Amino acid sequence: MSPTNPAPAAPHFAERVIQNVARVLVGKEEVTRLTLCGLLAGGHVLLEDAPGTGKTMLARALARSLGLDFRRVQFTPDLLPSDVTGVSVYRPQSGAFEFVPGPIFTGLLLADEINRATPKTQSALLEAMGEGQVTESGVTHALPRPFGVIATQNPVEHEGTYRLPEAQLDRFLLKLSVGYPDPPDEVQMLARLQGEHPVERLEPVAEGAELLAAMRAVREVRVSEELRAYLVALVGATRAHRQVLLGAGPRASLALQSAAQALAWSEGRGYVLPDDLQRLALPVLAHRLSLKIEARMQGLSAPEVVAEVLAAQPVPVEALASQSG
Amino acid sequence: MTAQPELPGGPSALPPVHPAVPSTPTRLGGPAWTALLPLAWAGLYPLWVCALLGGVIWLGGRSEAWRGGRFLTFLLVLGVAAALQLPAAFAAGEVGALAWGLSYLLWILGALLLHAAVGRTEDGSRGGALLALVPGLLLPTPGLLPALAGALLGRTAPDDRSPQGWQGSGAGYRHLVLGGLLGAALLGALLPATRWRVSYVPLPRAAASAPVSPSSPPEVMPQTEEPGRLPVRLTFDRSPPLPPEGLYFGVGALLLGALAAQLLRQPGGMRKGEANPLADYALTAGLLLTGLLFVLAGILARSGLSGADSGNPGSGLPGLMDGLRRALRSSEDAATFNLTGLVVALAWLGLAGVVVLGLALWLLRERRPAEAAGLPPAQEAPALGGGHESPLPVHRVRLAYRSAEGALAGAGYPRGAAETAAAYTARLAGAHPGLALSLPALSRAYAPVRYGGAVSEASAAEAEAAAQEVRAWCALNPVPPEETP
Repeated sequence: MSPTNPAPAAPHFAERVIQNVARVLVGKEEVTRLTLCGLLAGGHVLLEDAPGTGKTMLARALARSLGLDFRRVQFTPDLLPSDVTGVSVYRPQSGAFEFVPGPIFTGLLLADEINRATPKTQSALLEAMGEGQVTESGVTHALPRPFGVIATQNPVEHEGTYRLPEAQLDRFLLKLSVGYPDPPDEVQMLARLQGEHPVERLEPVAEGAELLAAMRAVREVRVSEELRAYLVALVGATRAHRQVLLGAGPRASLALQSAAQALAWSEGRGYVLPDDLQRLALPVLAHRLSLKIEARMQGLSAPEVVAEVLAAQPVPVEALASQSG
Repeated sequence: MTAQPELPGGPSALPPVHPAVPSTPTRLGGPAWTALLPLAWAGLYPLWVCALLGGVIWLGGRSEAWRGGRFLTFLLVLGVAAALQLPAAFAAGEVGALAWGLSYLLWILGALLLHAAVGRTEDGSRGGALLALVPGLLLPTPGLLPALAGALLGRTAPDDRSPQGWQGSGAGYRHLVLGGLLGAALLGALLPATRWRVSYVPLPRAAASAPVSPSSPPEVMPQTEEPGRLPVRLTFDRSPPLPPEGLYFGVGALLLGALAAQLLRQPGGMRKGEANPLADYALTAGLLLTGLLFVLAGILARSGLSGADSGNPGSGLPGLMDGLRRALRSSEDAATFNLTGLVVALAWLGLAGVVVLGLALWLLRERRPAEAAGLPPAQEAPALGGGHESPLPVHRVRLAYRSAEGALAGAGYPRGAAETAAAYTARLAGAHPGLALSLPALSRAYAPVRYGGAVSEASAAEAEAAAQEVRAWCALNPVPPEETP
């Protein structure tokens, strides 16, 4: 695919999926698009919002629309790593251990309320999310392709939860919030969900092979040198921010670039715009920042830091003599 | 999450991606009228030389190769013209030979100025034509009128040039300058035509202080009597800017600088597919001829002031060879050297060396990022933070956007440094109905050009028209200055 001429089906593919998801999740096209972009970029998405805002529904609808195998794991404190990744079982008939794949061997895994599992179980996902494989009893098992994780967590309840470690958070390409629907959208949702839940009748509008082809096409989207420099400046500014203890790392730079490529492709462009980077800076960068204790005491949040960084970094548009940017 | 501002019409309003148009426009700047500029120098150059120089400028407007080697092609034309005049110059004796050498140097200087004037005019700065027109006023001829017309009609580059020259300067200033220039040109055209003239009057050694003929122009260079040289008196219509030897070496150093710059620019500046063997041959021939003529001029500079016979050696090739022979012989016969000239020459060479070195470093620094990035022509080096500009050409849509953004900033609607073009467009188009159509249209064409896509010719033309509308709107809707209590 030419960098300047994205696959003709690109906008159609994305719009098909988004419209299909919109049949069950009303008024959430933006978060649906970004979640889809996360998958197109080969990443994983963390959905954080209050209960009942449609996080699980989004994951189910997206999996159905993309024609992916879908598994849901409800994370609880007593969940063991092997409950997710799989376990080797001794078969007396054969006298050997046989690996029984866990629910992670699927196309799209919904890790519901991920922060309720212990850090040990959370960490079991690290290898799968980072490398697309699972190692059990010294044997490595490759996960199917495509593979994605959509995890959810509740930002309100902290009792009996385990905060995701930084390394785990860094594995999530995007952290999104679904948000409450607008009143008109909520009214429309009530009408649609009055009878049988439409997600049960949702038909796939794409298939896994198409998603894989799209993922390959996304990597061909052009990112100009100026935008790369802008991206690096944005990420670097989070490291240099006075209220930040640990800024975004190089993985964040890669994540922002690939997410921006996916967003551009989903909108039918063969090139990334600075608007894409700005639009994705918050969902890509905010959850990777660790703020200093004094910043937290002052009530400063990571999204506010990202907003400050965005407001301070000059955008590569045109350099006029009268301005610095 | 909060949605970012979008262009009116939402994401669907984003520009469709068109098949890529050739990144090298067939018309590099279109200032065909600038080909008239050499006529301003009709008092210095023969008319046919002016015509040839105009032809070279015209070719440069249509081919990157000719444009890149324009100055060297100028040198070729001037070298041919000077070589054709050489026999007659020697036939006129020492005076003619020295006058020829000095004339040639003035021609080279004129070519430098003309080259700079054409380049700046093509870059969109009409004021750049002053570099050719103002010196032309010193030697006024009716050719100034068409040259002035060329400067006025030479349209600012629509696509591939740096826009620096036409940003931020008020139209009033330009009109004032051009009006004054027009008046001066008309006045100059009415004056009787005068030509630059040099006369060389050898004086007897013992009569160095003899009075000058009443008909001679005023003396401007003090005469000196040196061992091994005849006391001479050089007279000019106007003061020479430098001693002749310093002038030779100075111009030679400038030529070397131009050559170094040209050699450094070629690999990075020449686009693929732009090779033009004819232009390359012309440039090489221009360099060789210029070098030969400079050697000759050097011989004359050294020997012309010494005691050569001022007899008439005849015309044509025999006369030329005879003159050269005499010049070389007299050079050998010179008992001493004028160290003053050598010191001046060394000083000039040192200065020129610094300039050339600085120029070379600057060009290399500019070239490296673009080469490392492997950017296509429309995607030149970054301009983050208003930094250095790329030597590569700029797309016409970017020029249009710059002009519109410059006009908006000048009218009091600047873009925030952290504001993207789309956000800026959405903000202004939402607040000002007069910009609701033109600015989004411009922004839609601008985004793909700036960040890696392509636009069709129709979209580019639409963007230029939109930029013009934005500029017109800015002229009518400036933000009133805040009233101070």
